[in-house]
Amino acid sequence: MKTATQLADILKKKILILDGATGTELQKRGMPAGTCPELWTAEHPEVQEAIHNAYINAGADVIYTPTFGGNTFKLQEYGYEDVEALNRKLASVARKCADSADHPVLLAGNIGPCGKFIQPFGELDLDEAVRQFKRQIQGLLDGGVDMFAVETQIDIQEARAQVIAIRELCPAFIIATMTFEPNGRTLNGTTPEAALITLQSLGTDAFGSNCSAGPKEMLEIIRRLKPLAEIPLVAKPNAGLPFIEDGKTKFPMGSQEFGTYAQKFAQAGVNFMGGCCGTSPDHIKQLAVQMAECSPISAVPKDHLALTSSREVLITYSDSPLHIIGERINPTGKKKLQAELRDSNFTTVQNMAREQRNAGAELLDVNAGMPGIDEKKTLLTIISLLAPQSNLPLVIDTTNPEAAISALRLYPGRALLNSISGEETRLKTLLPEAAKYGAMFILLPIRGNHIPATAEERITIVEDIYRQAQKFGFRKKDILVDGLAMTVSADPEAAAEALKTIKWASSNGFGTVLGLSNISFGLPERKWINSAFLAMASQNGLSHVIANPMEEVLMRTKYASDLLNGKDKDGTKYIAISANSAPSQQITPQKAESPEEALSQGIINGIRDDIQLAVRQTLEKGLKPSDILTGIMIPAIIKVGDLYEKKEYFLPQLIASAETMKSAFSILAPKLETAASGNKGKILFATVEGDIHDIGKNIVILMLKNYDFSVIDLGKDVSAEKIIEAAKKEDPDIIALSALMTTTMIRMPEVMKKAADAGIRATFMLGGAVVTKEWAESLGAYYSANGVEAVRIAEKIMERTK
Amino acid sequence: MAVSTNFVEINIDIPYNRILSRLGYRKSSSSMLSCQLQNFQTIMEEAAAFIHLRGAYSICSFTPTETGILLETGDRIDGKLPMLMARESEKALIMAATSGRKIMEEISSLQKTDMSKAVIYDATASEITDSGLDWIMHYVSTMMKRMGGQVSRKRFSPGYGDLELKNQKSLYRILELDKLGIDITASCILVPEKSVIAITGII
Repeated sequence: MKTATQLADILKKKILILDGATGTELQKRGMPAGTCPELWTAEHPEVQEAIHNAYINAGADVIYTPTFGGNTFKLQEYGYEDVEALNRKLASVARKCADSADHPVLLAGNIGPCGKFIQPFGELDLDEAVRQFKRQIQGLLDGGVDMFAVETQIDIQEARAQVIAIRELCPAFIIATMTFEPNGRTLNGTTPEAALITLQSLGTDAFGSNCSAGPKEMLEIIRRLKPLAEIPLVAKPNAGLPFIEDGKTKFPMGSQEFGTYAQKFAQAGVNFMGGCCGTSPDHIKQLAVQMAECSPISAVPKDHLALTSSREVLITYSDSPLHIIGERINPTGKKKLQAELRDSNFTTVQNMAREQRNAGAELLDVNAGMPGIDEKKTLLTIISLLAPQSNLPLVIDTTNPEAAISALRLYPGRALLNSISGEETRLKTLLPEAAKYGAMFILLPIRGNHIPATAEERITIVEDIYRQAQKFGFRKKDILVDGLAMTVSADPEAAAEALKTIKWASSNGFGTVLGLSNISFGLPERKWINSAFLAMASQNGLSHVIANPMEEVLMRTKYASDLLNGKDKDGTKYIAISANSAPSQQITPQKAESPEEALSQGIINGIRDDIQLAVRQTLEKGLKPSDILTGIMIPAIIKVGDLYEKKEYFLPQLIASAETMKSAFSILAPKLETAASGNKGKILFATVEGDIHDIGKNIVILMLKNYDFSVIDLGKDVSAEKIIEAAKKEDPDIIALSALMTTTMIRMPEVMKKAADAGIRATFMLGGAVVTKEWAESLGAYYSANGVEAVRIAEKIMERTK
Repeated sequence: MAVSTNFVEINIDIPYNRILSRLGYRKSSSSMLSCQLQNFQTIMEEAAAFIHLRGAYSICSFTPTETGILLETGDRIDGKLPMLMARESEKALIMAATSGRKIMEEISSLQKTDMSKAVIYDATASEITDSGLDWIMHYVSTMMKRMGGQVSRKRFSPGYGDLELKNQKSLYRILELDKLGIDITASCILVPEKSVIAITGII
């Protein structure tokens, strides 16, 4: 077995060549389609040896065991149970090939996806997944692998689970590669940078991409990763983008062309390179020949702090703007949230997450500490809920070590733990666990009940905790030092001491943080104190603040402070924020010069806000209600209909205008001399039996009502009998039927026949996604495709039946 | 034997352009104030927060018949589209996606107060559900690629073309969609409404 330390010297001198595709090579050598590759290979060791030897002879420095699908879950699909034995056997064959090579060859135990998604993305329990992965890993270790290759992952949580499983068994070198889509993310939405930081923090020794696409596309991924990578980078591209020919998948890139990419990948900073789907020993040979001319580049990434969600990374350099950690997901003092958490209702939590993100938070603090609930269970539920949805990294905020450890294990990214203080038991419990899961932590410079009043005392505690943290591999950039904002109303020196602590920590290479609002506790108009303190702390080097991003004054102070501290280059963010909030800068419809124009424009633009005021002002000017309706409102809605038919307007605009018309009409109707609505005719409307879709019908009804039709809406899933009964009672001019499915549209002729049998003389108008003009007309009914057409057809029917 | 795999949390980006397109927006002809566009996007994001996209798939062997295909589960799927699929494929990928019940409750209540918003919610749910099927096809394709397999680009759903809606019953059973909180009515309609079953071939 090889560790990262043992491979470090080799990797400084040489870019190691990995092998190429195994699956397609097995097929070339006779493996039938539909069989389990691992089981078939175990029965054909001569084929396995031939493939390994071909890659070794081509120049591979690392060969992978043919155990991509050798996990419990995949093997179960073929009814096979002895996971350890199969992996051991396949690894042993590969071991022999590696040992008999004419150059040093390392053997990597290959671990692929298990075909199931793990919590919080799927139903598979994380601990169960880890337990099962360990069976494969143990088998591979017993078979003599030097290292592991976790590959083709699209789910960051599965990659985490496999790395955790390996680390819980041994210190062997781990390569982890993920598969990225053309949009630069895994299918589950994780960016290469987020995956790198998450897995690098977790203890992966090399990271990169495999499969995905051809070398051209993968090169961009390696270039993106290099500025952040503290570990070697890996590329295992396909032989170009696949296409189908004669019913078979083919890859377009030949071995010569594949080899030409060696130099580009070396310059991009790759340390391991091989091939994935569509590559062969020829591809690897060309790659090895070309790569022999290249050397690994040594580049140390610019110092940064890094946290991740399951999808995105948040990088903090020394000149980055201040990051807001949204503080609102915390039940303390929030009765509604407390009640909801007691009932396991997480609606407010989700809303708070969304609102804080929209308000500018870049991280979300998550706290579930309150009496009367199971804190650990609630915290894990919140993480399971937010982690898949939120792009923002989570801050796990708990004083309960058991809850903290479980949350760190579950969180599918690199979390920030809030917090670790100086008590021996807390340090002993939390430091190793935070290190194991690769978390950053907030260092709270207190011990037990003693809160040090001066910066000097706090610094002593910081130095002491840091010394202990170093033993677990923590560096300064893995820690945010809390400056300890204590209430200034109790201690006039509280602000100064916190600022001194922040300044010291920042200038000594730590990240920094403050729980801002403590400073103003007990004082009136706290927002001013908080904002002023934020500006002062920002100037003293504060990198993160736990605060409420919904506080506008606070957020504006943050953006202004970033600008003044040179952390907002060219004031881009400040100007953008200011532009978005200045009313004069908003793009609004042209200002109307009269109430009549405002009314017309309001309907045409579908802006309801002041429409009733416009109607009242028009009436106050002395215009007759009937003239307002026929001279302003009807022409406006007709114009909207025209715009819709010309496709200048689309559906939401049409409906917004119709609803604006409806709102205006509600003011005008009582003042009209004749009956206000229903003059044009009576329509009975229903979605037919078996069909539950009704939004289309409701849109058409809205339009018809706007055009002065009286509409009786029978709803959805309405039986023919009910329609006939209503028709007898209401005696409508038109019966309109809607259906969305081919299976339910056949109810339409049934209704029409029953209506005819019952002597109902109303005209039928049919519509819905699957209904066509030809079909409706073949039944003797009118057809309308949409709301605007329905109005026109209804008017035509009324004209004819006059 | 066909095994159903569930995805209880599918993560996709909001397909803004597809939603606009579904609502009838045409870049070449539609005119819209930029504040309206911004507002529409905000509404789509609001809608997405009510959507819990989940899905399931199963890979089934089949035998071509004179009228369609016979799945290994013993279910017949008749029609020209399955016959077409049988010509180029060896196995069928059966899948389903749902946006969940919460979004339907929201759409239902919005129709009483704000129809234009309801329509955007409705289109967002439809397109996200459809994107869920794209996601499943892509997932399976990624898994199949290394064995030289690929998922056909075209998929079809019961109720469209000549693939009768009654097929939804057997596909529902194969996918065990009750586990995803989806019901099927006597007339073979999936509830919640924004749920779709589809079938395609594996080449």
